[in-house]
Amino acid sequence: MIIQSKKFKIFDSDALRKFHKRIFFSIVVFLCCYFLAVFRIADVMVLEINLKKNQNYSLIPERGKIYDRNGQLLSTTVNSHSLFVNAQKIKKNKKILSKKISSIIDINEEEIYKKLTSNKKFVYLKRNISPKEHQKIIELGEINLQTSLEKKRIYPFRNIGSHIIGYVDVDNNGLAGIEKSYDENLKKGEDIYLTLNINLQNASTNALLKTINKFSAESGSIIIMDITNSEILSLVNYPDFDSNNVNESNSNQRLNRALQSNYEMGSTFKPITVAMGIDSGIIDQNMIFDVSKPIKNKIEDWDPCNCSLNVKEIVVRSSNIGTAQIAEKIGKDNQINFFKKIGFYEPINIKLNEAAKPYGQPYHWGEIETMTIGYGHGFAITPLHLAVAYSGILNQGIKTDPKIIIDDKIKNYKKIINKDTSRYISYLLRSVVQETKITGPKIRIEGYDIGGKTGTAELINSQNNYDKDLNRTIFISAFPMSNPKYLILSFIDKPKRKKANNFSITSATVNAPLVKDIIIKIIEILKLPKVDNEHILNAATSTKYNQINAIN
Amino acid sequence: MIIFNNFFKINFLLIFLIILIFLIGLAALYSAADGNFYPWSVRHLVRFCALFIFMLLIALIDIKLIYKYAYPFLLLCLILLLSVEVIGSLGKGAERWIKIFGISIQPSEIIKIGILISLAKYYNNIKYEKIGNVIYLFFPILIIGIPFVLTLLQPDLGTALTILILGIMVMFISGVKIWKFIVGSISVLISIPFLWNYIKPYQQKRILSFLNPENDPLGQGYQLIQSKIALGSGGLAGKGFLQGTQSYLEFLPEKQTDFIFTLIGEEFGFIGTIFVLILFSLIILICFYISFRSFHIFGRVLSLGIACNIFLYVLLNMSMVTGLMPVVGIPLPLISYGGTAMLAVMISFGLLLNIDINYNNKKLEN
Repeated sequence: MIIQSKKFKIFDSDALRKFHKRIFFSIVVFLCCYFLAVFRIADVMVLEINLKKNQNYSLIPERGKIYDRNGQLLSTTVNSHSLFVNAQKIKKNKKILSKKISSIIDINEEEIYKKLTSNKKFVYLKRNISPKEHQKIIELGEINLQTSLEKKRIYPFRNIGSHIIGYVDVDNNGLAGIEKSYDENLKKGEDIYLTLNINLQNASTNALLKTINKFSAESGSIIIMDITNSEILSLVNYPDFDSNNVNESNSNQRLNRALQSNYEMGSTFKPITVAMGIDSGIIDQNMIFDVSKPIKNKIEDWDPCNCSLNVKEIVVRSSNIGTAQIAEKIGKDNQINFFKKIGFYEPINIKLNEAAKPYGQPYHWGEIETMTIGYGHGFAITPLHLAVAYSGILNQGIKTDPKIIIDDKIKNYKKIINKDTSRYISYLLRSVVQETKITGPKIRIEGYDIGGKTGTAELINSQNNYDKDLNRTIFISAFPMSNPKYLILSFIDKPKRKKANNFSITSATVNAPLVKDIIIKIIEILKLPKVDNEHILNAATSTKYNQINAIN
Repeated sequence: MIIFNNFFKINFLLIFLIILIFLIGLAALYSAADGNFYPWSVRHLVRFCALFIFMLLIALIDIKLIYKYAYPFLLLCLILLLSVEVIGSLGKGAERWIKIFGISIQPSEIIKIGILISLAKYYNNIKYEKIGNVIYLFFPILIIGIPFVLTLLQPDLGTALTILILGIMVMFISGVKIWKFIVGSISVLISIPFLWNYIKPYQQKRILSFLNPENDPLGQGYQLIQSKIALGSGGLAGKGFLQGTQSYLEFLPEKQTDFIFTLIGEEFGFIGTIFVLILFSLIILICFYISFRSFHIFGRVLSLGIACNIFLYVLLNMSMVTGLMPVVGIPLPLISYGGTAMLAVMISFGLLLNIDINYNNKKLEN
């Protein structure tokens, strides 16, 4: 078929054949390229064949990488460039040049001009410029602006986990966190795997930030631990910082509150006091305490009641008067011994330089202090101390040192209380969640056997008085209570009274929803299955039954 | 009336694929902003809607108009490209952007379409037997060569190379003899040293810096890290929508533009990335179908050129994010955030639809 016209043409059959041949050839080339691309993607994403080839390239080992427990990269070293100039060789237009450079690298124009006119052969203009900046410098086309290859430590997750991961100086020496405490290992090129789960870390950071914004609070911390092996799964503080730009942060942001700051723990001490009383046999769970009158006009209850309470009711109602009486029975010496046993007198044994020594009670410790310390006032420890102690109490009474590095062996097994006391405390914490009318509904999740205890401490204002508007709210929580596995400790400092929250700044309002958010995320991320409610109740009664047997 | 009739001749499979790919892009940008429509998704959506109408407009206009104004369009693109170079040499350095009515446009993207239309028109006008004649090489080389050199000097090596490859592919498909390509490449290699002396030192430095691997700000190790961090964590099935925890740094490229593919890889895994690849392959297959169906050479060459263009976008972007190639700034069509690339791609789709509607047009010239 031959169609020919001046205005409109179509190939004759011969040309058409050739045309088709070439199209066919193109399709083959396309397909080959596509398969190459698909293979490469498969390689990178699934097969990972040639990713490990380029490691251990140079003689000096590259600083080791830091990963989370699932192998997510948290810290690594990339090539970067530092911009320097031979000022002697730049002859003209220094003003214009410094203006141009200033617009690229975000450094003061005068400062650059000073360096350009300094008559030195080698002046750094900026170290570790970004690829974007580098490209723009190249595009400037000024031959005397030169770059040198450097190694720059980067943290892909920025603020997430920065307090634990830490940071390095410009010469890649560790200055804080894991970067500091494992500096030697990292310098030898060893990779470090943390116990952190970066997804949990991310989730708890977001939840904490949400709560802090909601209450315009000053600061806060969250610790998530695996009770069975004392691994720290997540540890978050706010305010926080970006490990990539440490210079832009202040010391308040860099403070690792969960490890470095000492706090009074308020009512979260009550189960500890009960644990020491029950375990030493000084009290038993059926004892009744009269809580109708304040003690020495000093110790009062938030929710006064003209009644007598047993031990469980004291914890569930969070009675200061009742706990004070238990503490009084226990006495100062037993209290100190027990605190020593659960580690409240020593820094936490963890390889992080930030881990601080607890204050404890540095002042007078008399009868009244024994009572107030019983419910968490007058004795200061770090949040991690509280988490580790609770973890030991709930881990059938076996306390071990917390772990932040994955291949650490479990260290320092120590029996702190009996198994039955441990089960009783679990039962108490579950009761708080099951039976309280304010806290309970805010934390319960159907199908998950959750326990917890609130704590609210009033802080001292600038006039040196306890101030009702300055609270520190604490919530310690664990689940599943039949066999505790996950521990969540949350801390919020100075939440503000707001109309949206009915002007309440108690732990139940501030922390319970926060911890619930976090538990939901834990369930989601770790894919924890539901247990039906009947099972939870059965577990509850069986615990109670065992406990009574033990006491008898 | 003609427009109305033509509307039902539109290739709705192609429209469906375009919208599907765009929606994937929208979801990816939503995820890139941590589950927010701002700042990227909303603007991506607005651009797409506006350009979608523009695409339909191009699809429904008379193909003769496109044919008629092919060369003036190329000339306009060239002027834009030149003005960028002039402004660039006066201003602070390399410029790839020009502002028209307050909208930033990258002429080097648009000019690819100008080249394609012009080449298609040119090959439509010469008889097949005459393609063998050396004289007929002059014009194609000119309209490929000038934009190539201009973009190379910007320097935008990535776009310059795509212009060159695109031009060569179209010439090859149109039937230029193989030995001419060989002679051509040899003569280009020989002439490089002579041309080198004609360009200014700062332009020399720009190109050298770009080509010198030592000067590559994104070294090999970086590429591997990039691949590993972003794609490797996705695995076979991915982490799920909005479950990617990847946060990027200034030391890693921007996630919303050229590296959006890594986000898809992380959240939807290997399966998700292959799905996206298949969608693009289908579009390219439709281009081939339209090309085979077209009665006129203009349509055949143009739709094949567009196929090559989309293929190059996708292939180069994949190579870039998987570390097969240095980072040169090639976006993923309809998915990457960015206006000019979308403008260029939507014009291409408009042209494709138009050729498809007018496949049996008897006359291209009045």
